[in-house]
Amino acid sequence: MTAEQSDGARWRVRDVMFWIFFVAYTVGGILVLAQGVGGIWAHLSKPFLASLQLKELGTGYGARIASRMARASFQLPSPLSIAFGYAFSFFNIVLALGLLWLRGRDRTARLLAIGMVGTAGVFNLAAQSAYESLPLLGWESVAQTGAAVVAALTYAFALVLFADGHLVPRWRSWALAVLYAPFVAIIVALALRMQEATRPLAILIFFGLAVPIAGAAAQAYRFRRATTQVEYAQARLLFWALVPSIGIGAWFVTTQGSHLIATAAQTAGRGIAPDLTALRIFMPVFLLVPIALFAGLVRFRLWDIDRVVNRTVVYGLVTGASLGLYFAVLVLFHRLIPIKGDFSVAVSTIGAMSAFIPLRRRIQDFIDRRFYRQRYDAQQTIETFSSRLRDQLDLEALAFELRGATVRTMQPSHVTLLLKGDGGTMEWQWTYRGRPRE
Amino acid sequence: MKKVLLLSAAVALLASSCVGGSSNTRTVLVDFQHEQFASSFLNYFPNRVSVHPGDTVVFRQTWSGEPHSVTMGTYADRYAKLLAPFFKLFAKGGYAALPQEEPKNIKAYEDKYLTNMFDENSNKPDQNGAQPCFLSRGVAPRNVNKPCSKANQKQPDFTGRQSYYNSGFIPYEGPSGDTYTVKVSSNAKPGTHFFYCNYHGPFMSGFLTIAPRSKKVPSQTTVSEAARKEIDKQAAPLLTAFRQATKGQFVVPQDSLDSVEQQGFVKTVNGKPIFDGWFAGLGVDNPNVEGTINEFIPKSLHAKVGQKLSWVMIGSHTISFNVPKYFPIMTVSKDGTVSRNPKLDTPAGGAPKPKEQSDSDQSPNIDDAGTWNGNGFWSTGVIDSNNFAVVSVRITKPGTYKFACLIHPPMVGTLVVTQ
Ligand SMILES: [Cu+2]
Repeated sequence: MTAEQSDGARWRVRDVMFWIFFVAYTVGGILVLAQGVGGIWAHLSKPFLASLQLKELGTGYGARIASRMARASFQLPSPLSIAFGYAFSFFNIVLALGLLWLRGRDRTARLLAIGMVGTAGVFNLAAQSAYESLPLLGWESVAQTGAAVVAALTYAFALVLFADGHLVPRWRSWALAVLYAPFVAIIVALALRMQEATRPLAILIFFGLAVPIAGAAAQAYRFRRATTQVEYAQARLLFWALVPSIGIGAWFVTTQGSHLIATAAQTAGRGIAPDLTALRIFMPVFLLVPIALFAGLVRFRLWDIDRVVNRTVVYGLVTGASLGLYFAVLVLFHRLIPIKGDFSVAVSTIGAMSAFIPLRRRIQDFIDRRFYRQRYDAQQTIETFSSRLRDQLDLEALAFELRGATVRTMQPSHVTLLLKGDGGTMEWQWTYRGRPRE
Repeated sequence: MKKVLLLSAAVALLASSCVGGSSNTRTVLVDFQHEQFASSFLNYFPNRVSVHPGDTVVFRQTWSGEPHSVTMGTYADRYAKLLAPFFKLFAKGGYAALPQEEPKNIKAYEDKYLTNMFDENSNKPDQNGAQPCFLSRGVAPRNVNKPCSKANQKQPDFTGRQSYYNSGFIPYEGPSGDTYTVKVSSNAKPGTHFFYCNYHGPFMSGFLTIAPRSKKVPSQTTVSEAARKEIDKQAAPLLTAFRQATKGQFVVPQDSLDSVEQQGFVKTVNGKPIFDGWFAGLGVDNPNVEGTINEFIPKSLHAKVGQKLSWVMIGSHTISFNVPKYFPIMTVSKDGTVSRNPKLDTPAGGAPKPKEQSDSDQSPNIDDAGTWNGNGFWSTGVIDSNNFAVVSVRITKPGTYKFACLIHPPMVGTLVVTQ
């Protein structure tokens, strides 16, 4: 679709530069991840640990790496956290390579691939804590900060460019530069101020606020202006994938940001590992973003997204409401009847359960009406159509009605209706164009 | 910008090390940060190293918070000869085995020919010992405020014939540490030379042997193995103590049992007297261990407003709240003057002056540091004790606070105070 794709397999300087950078960046990331694995291995193997504890006494960078792995082996995160972290990294790297395999010449895919490799390194807590188990040298902290900035910027631009590879809005390039420059400057400035203690906060500001907000704004703009169904679905998919990250990012930054900043100076220069609890919660949520981008770029199950979002919202609300009801009933029973324990629990459980199904329908209805006008309308349309069917005798009018109902409910890009009449075949063809949300 | 410069320096260093000549390098560690607990060791690892003329010895200092030097020269060599009988005593029973009073002849020798990095009485660095000084003959200035001349501060190759060859205070270069390199001159005469730390004294020391070229010297691997063995020997008792303390089962040393009991810091668990309290630094009652644990144990604490919070303090530390960015115990200014961080000693935020003890007083130093209102920088100042101290503070405002020791960078903890 994009210019790169259309001009065949000719390699340009830009392509060579991309691949050189991508390979270097990936190798760097994998080395950092490998250091974490070294720490885990040293935890499991005494002879390996002993060899590291010897090597760390020598000189050169090898001694430093050995020292890091030895130290890391004594301060590993929980097995669950390690397993999740490496699964996250592995998944992101594989997804990045897969994306380049499938859409290697697409600009958005390339940016995203870099971003995903970056987050594979930046978000891996075991690897990061191994890297930081010794206070960082100047260039190490430059490399670490640089890698995070690259990941944040490529991610942000991938989210903005997704899916057609052009910046929004469609302004002249100087105007775009003016619009985006402050954003880039803020990210870089934040990254340079980042130190051991504030790193989790900085990562949350990058990947929980700056990046997803830029992405969500661009995608909201895109789906308002979408001219095709594909564009519409892509924008919507990504928008919804970004919302949870923004929620968690905003929550952590507002509740813990000032405390983290206030205490950052006190741990500065002391080589102290930062508190990573916030990141542990954030990571799985953020995972939605690369998955959505991947799906959007290779157009896998693009059409299911509304349903997934809808279901998630509905069941989330239903669970919340039933739990609320459950506890409300529980408390009420405790107040009213002085019987302890089982009875009130049983009653409130039954109450919550019986509330669940009608509640789900109510909420589904409300959500559909509020956010998914078309779906709600579709039901109405079909009902109207079936009632019309009974009265309508004119075939042509009926066909028109059917076509209208189909377009309104299913929103296809075009509709073809074949009718077997007496004198042969009658055919309408109508191609849907324009904003679907009308 | 600084980071960019560092990066290019690292690249240049890497490039130059690849092109280097055929001479060998041996590494000696100055102090060590243990993998499992924050520590300082008043040792060189290993304390014996052999090289050939033309080789290089890299003294790699880990910044634990303790200042060190590598002090050598013919005056140091003669010093070692005088100390020989005491080294034997020290090897058996540590400082406790040494005579109470410093022998007069040794004191006189030190005054006449050597320097110190720091003067305990004036609480100030001695410039003649804290600044680098390399003399082919004669002694460093006897006036403590007079450093060696700038010309004598340029480091020549080590010949073994220089009278005084002192690194001075090896400065803080960030928490990763710093190196001090001794290039052994290619015409150095074979022989064994003494090196010691002129801050911690002649028992933090080692020997550098310049072997004739015809004789083989141990490889770096062998040197590292020897170093590791010494580290592990020193660390083993500390590691046991550290594990016990983190589990809340630190056994009170027999000789301080009475005084600890009087302070209500003892509970009996399984018939053993266990320290019942928090720790600010930890050591062991073992004459052959020259290391300490520099950590708050536990690292995160919960307390009520107005509650008396007490730490058993082993070693010299401060307890400080709302601390500024880490600042080392001593710094070197542009003109080379070495000065002590004034923030260390002075109590801040209304804390009283810490209680001092006479040298012979072996009872615990009980220091009530008063109250802190939760605002601004607050510090006890450095608290010294001959055996151990018990430091208490009350906090009058609920909140989550970071506390730290101003000397030892890894000593940081979190305290949550609730109503
Ligand atoms: Cu301390």
